[in-house]
Amino acid sequence: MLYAKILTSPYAYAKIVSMDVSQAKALDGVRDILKYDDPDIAEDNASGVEPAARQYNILTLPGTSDFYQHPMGVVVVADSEEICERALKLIKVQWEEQSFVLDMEESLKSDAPKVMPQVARLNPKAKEPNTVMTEEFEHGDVKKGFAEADKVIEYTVRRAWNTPAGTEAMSCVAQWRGDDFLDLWIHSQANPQGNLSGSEPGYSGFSRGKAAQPMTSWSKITLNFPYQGSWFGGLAWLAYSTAFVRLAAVLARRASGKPVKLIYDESNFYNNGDDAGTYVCKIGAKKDGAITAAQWHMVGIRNPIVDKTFECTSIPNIRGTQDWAFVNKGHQNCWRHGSHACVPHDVMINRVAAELELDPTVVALKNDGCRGHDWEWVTRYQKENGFPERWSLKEVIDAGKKAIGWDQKWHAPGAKKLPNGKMHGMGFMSINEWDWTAGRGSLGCLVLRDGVATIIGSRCDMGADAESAYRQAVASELGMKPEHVILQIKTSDVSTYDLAPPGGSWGTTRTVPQLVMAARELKQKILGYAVQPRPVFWFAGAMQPQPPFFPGKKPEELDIKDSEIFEKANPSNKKSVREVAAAFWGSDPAISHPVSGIISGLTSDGKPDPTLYVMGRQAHFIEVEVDTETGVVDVTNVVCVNDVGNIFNPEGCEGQQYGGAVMGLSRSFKEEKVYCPQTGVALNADNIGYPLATMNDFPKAQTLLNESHLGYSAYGAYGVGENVGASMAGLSAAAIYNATGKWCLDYPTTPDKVLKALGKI
Amino acid sequence: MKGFELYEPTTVAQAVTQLNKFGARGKALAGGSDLVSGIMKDRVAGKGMPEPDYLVDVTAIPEMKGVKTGPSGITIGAATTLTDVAASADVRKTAPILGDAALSVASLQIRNLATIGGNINQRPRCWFFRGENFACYKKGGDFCYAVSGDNTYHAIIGGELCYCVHPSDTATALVALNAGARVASPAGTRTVSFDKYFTGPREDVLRENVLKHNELLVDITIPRPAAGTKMAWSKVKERQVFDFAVVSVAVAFTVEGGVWRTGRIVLGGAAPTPYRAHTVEEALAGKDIQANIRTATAALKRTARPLNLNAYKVDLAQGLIERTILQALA
Repeated sequence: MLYAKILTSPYAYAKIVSMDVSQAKALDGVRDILKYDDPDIAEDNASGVEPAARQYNILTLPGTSDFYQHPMGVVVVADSEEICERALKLIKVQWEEQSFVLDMEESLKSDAPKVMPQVARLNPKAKEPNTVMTEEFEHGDVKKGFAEADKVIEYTVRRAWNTPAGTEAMSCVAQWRGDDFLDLWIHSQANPQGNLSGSEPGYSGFSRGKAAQPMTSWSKITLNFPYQGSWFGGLAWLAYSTAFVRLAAVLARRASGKPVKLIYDESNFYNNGDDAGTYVCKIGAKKDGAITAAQWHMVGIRNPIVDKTFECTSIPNIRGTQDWAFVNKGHQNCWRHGSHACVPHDVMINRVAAELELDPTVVALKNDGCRGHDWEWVTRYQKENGFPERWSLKEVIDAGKKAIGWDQKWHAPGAKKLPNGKMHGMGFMSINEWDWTAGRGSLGCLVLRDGVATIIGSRCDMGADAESAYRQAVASELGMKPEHVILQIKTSDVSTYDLAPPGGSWGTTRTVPQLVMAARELKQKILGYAVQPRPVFWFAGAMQPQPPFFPGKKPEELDIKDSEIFEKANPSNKKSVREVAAAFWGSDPAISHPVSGIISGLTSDGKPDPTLYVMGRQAHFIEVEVDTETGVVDVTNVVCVNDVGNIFNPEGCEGQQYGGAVMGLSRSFKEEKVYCPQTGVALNADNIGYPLATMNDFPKAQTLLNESHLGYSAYGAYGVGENVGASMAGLSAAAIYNATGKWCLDYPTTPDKVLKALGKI
Repeated sequence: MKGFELYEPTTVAQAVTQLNKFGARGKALAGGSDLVSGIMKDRVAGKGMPEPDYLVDVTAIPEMKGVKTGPSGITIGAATTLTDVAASADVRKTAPILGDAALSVASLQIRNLATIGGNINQRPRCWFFRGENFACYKKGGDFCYAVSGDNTYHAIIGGELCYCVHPSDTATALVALNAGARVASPAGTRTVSFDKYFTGPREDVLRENVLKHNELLVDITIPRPAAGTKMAWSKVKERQVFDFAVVSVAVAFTVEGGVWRTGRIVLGGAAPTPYRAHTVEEALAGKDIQANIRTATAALKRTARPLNLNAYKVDLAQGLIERTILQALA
């Protein structure tokens, strides 16, 4: 095994002018050195391995650093990790430092120094020099809405930069078998196969060095995904790992058959993020809490910001605008997204309640709806379209209030001092559930052998246990015992059997519909076999076909329960699925379901059909004690309620809720990446300095589940993969306000900011 | 991480001889939680702080391990793990705030390895000191980056030249307990009060205590406190697992009828050394504590010199002193 490590930039923004690797090359144990200008990667560096990578400033081995500790410039391959590190220190680099920008509001200014010119700007409205994206959304007429309001309030919310919260550095082992076959072991949730393969449209035509020649077929790549726990997020590693894995493949090709393990520096986990933002908000409301207009402008990274508020309220007039400019703080892509939309929504409900001296749960219910329609309208929609007539928000709020004792404990702001001298506070937030879509992009295959149905597909194990949901859904549809349905993770040919990577919030909602459809088809196949004459094998002696297991019956007269096929009219007439399937082993026992498009409820471009309304809700509650002398806030009680639509695996859902609660509260109360303003160096880019909370920081969350069956996935399910963490990322401010009567809208709400909000410093 | 030679002496004399031989390139090693997995792993080094080539492991020296009780107090070997210190019945009885402080350090796994000597002598957590791109005073450079950089966690008191804070929780408790250190050198051993053990940046910016390259902290002696001594320990940290103090407070004092007689108030995380809040002690002396605590803690404002981002620590320290004293009284 050879090891490979990449140089990390000591500067926030600098170009490599020249590089001398002679001393490193001469070091014992160094096997290869690949520089940024090598023909094997020159094309990747110019274009990005895939389009998304270029948009997110992720090139394979760029010659310009865009942020401190940016992996770039040169990679060393050696006999050990330590030799790699020593060799990297021997490489002499002449840098040309550039003016960097750390503050996004500064970067938006027309006279800001231009940064990252090589990185694609995302939309044509983007302004020079550094704006990547400018977005605007308006529903209704906010001017009219403000005119109708009894009260208009304005405030600003700030959220600091935080991390994707990965705990292990990414690594990849690559080995070529001959010139054609590539084996990969990837610590990543992504499937980068397409971009390594020449059959991916758009990539096969690139002229690359010999070592970087694309594969000729996906089927020649074997992927192994080790366990992927402790990740939470979205696009970042999809794009990042594509460049990373491709580099590993190139290095391995140059190593002539030896496996190469490419290791990223763990500090890179702390150099990314999308959470930072400044929201300038203006809200108009009637005295009864009905919001007539909501408007906010966000300076921040990627993600629509009013989409969830539009999805889940009756607010008739909504306007959201956004400016995103590059800063030299790391990859700006979607890590733990969703909180951009949740935090201003959460603050809006609580600020309106506070201004009007109302209970925030009442304000949330008052404004519940879908895309400007109130809940009465939604109820009619449910009735007319065959949905259960359920008010999800009321159900989750009622459950949460009861669990935390809201009616007994909630009080006027700053009204309850505890015997220990601290101030008692209650916090609440609610928003819609996601992911609520169905089936797009997930593929499945079912094979019946020896009475056991096997789900075959490729996915990485994130620890969220979507697998149980897959098995339960298939067992339920087939009428099989759960132990007779198993999951076989495939490590190759993932282009055919791909169980919705990366998993998480997509895993269940997008994959299960495919599996349900495949299971229904397989069931019909099994019942069909049960009424057909049994095939005769050439060595069986008797040449006459054997009679069917259920002679004279039609498939529709049969059913399956507990892995046994039985006659509906005479349930004692039964045969095991195993026996029937065994007789037909030579027949086609597989249901292949390579559907890459939509299942139902989605338009052909994959966007939600405008007539599909998001009706499932989640509500979260916390109880705090605020020490007004020190600014320290202790969370003493946490209640999470999620309407997951359909519960496949209660423990899996509760695990997501609990983990999400810790992550969300961590973002709300603690997490912030700190950069040196003079040098652009990340100051707390490690597990000790970066204050990522753990389960010891908060009390055990009470996790409650609701089943309304209002989702669009199989059985009306919603995802619960990331939404708890995202939605609780703003909850601290409401609780601190209830405790002290002061708003602390500068997240994370650390003791210094609480003291500032209290006017003490 | 750079390679090194490891030595495993079994007596203090052997250890000191080896340290004397290696000079600035040698370091005493115990649990290694800071030296190996922090300083050396992260290659924290500079002109005035060479990377060690030789590590002298002191954990095989019987004299440096365990808690012993004598008529005048308790003695704790410097190589005793924090877990053992926190669990010691003798420590709990004589110096409970040391047990609390030891228990508040890092995580269980780290406390099982880390020693009290290592905790006292660990290097600062300042992110400029730890960062490889900052040639600060403490590494032999010529600048303190905290002055103009992000100084959210830096010193609010006594931070001239270098504005790091002393990171040790047990050191804060030991100063409050009026403890002493036995230090071995090639010339023999000497006892140093912890009041004099820690040195500020003006004295020698390259180190945080009196130990020279060829010296070793052997053990710690805590005098038996006067009957009825009130003690308490508090630590504010950003998260409950392996975090250093934003501010910590250790108090040990005697009281008569609610009136402060004599005692010590010591702040951790506030200054380059554990800081004894004499101004607050003086403001309380001979006075009813409950009635005067708020005014007394306000005296801290007169001595504090916060930087642009850490003034909150002054308020936090004031509040924490008040809470800790009232907790001790209760």
